[in-house]
Amino acid sequence: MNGLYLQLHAYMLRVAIPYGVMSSGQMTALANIADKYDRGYGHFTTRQNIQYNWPKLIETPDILDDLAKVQMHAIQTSGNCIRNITTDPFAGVAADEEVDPRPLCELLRQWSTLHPEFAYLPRKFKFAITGSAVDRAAIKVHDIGLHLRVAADGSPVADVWVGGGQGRTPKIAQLFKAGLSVAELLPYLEAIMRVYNRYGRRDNKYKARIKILLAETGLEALQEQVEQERKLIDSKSFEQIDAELARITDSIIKPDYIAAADAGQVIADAVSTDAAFAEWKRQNVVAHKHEGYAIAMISLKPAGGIPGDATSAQMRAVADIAEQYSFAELRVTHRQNLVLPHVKESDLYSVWQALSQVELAEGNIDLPSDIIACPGLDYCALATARSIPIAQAVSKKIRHTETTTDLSGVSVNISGCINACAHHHVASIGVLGLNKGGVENYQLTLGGRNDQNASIGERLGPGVSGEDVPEAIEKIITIYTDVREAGESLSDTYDRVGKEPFKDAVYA
Amino acid sequence: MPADATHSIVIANDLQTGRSVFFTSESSWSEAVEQAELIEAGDDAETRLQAALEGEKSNLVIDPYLVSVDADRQIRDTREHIRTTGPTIFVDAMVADSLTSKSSRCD
Repeated sequence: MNGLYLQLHAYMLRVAIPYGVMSSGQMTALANIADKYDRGYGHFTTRQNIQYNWPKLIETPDILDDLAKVQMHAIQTSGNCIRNITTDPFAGVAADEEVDPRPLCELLRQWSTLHPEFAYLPRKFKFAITGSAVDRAAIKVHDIGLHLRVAADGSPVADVWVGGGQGRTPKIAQLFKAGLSVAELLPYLEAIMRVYNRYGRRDNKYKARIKILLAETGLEALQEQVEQERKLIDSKSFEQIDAELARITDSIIKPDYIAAADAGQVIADAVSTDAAFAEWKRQNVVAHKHEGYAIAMISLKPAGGIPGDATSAQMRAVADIAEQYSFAELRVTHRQNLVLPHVKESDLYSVWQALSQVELAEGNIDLPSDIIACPGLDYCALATARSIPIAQAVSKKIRHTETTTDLSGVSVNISGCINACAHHHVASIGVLGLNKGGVENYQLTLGGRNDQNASIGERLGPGVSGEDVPEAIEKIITIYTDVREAGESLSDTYDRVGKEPFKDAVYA
Repeated sequence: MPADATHSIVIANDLQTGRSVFFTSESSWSEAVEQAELIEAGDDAETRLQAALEGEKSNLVIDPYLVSVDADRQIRDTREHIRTTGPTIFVDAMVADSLTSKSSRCD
């Protein structure tokens, strides 16, 4: 449960970043650890955490000691327990948000951390929470996904989605309980966990996730088991939920926003004179719920770079930028990027210039080069093929095209084995690295989605060699841009025209 | 064992550091593959593996096992090759070099 794995040629330590939120001071501490105990960099992950690839076992206690000094740890970043709760990286600031998910994330973090009943589950267990109708937390491919929304009477409620997941048996979650009051949510989740803990399979780890229990038991039967279990749970144990949520809500630091005069003109001037900034603003800046502010995303996906990696120098620079421009707060996204959640619009150009100084000003968020990639066979003991070098080659090849053509409807995720750590199933173009007769071989999938309309991609055809992956992806993108209709993502186009045009192009 | 893999070596991970280490003819462990004992096909590889497993019992290494190599200690299996030589990530793509003096990722 302590996040330490022995990988191919070193230990790997995964550090928890609860729901992806951290302070500048914590980021600086992570940079210091990268220098002091590792090789000067860290890898941000799809669970909004960070991993170090080279720590020594004998130095791990010292790392944990340094983490504790900034209120961080590695607890439950491995093992068959409830892992880091993930959420919308724009939580609390998104213009389209209905309910701020952070208080519930913190409540679930406290509830699930070292929970004695759930320390040895049949398998690992992952929660994700969104408070917006547009799902940026991929809740439907989690063991439990929660969609917080405002009910007709104005109160916050949760839709509970159960049984999503990826790996070798990808499943989209099913709506398990709709409109649950927040006060009732925690005992209900405890009931689900108890039923899963009791009936989840322990004889075969590949069939141990709750998605398999749901498939084998059936939705209605499992719902009934949970309802019966809920009746056995003493509600008095949860009487303080509302009060605790109120306490947590009060404890969340509320930035002292101020109105920014003439922000529009400042930015308009910069956009008109600096094309690179204009591109960055178009791709990486998102609407903020507070007038005069923006959410600025930092891409960790430079063309040809290693997805999710940041050097210690970059981490320190980002910490300083957050300190100066974003109320000392940062977020990690499940797409392995970073977020400055509270930037004055009038500061955007200064922020971009500061990011440019450390090679972090790539304006490619949600474009094909914004690739999710797992560590793959370059680091991971479970991997069957490399993923990082493939991602590097793909982003190098397609970066130029996406600067001249609208490719915002294309996502590329690359996993180095069937465990699907890079979420290849839910990318519009998924790449799965396998070992075929001792040689790396890459399957392509098309049509996946990770949002509120989540879908699992379909295999296009026979696998291709690693060196052929970039060209295959380029061909797929060409077909998409040739035949797409207005507003269609690649997955929309795939649904409409089917597999054949893409297959013909790739295997011609 | 591949047809051209005429030899084998014993590989493991050092318990304290996690680094890949190789069993030597002196029954010690080295991080240098050049110092790995080259066990010929006709030799009793299992005997040498058993000797290497003593290192696990002594809490020196983790999970020693035999890996097929050719006479030049070249490893054909991609996984074992990477395990021996380190990540294959493209050096020229790294943005780290100019930003930190500790970014030697491909060693």
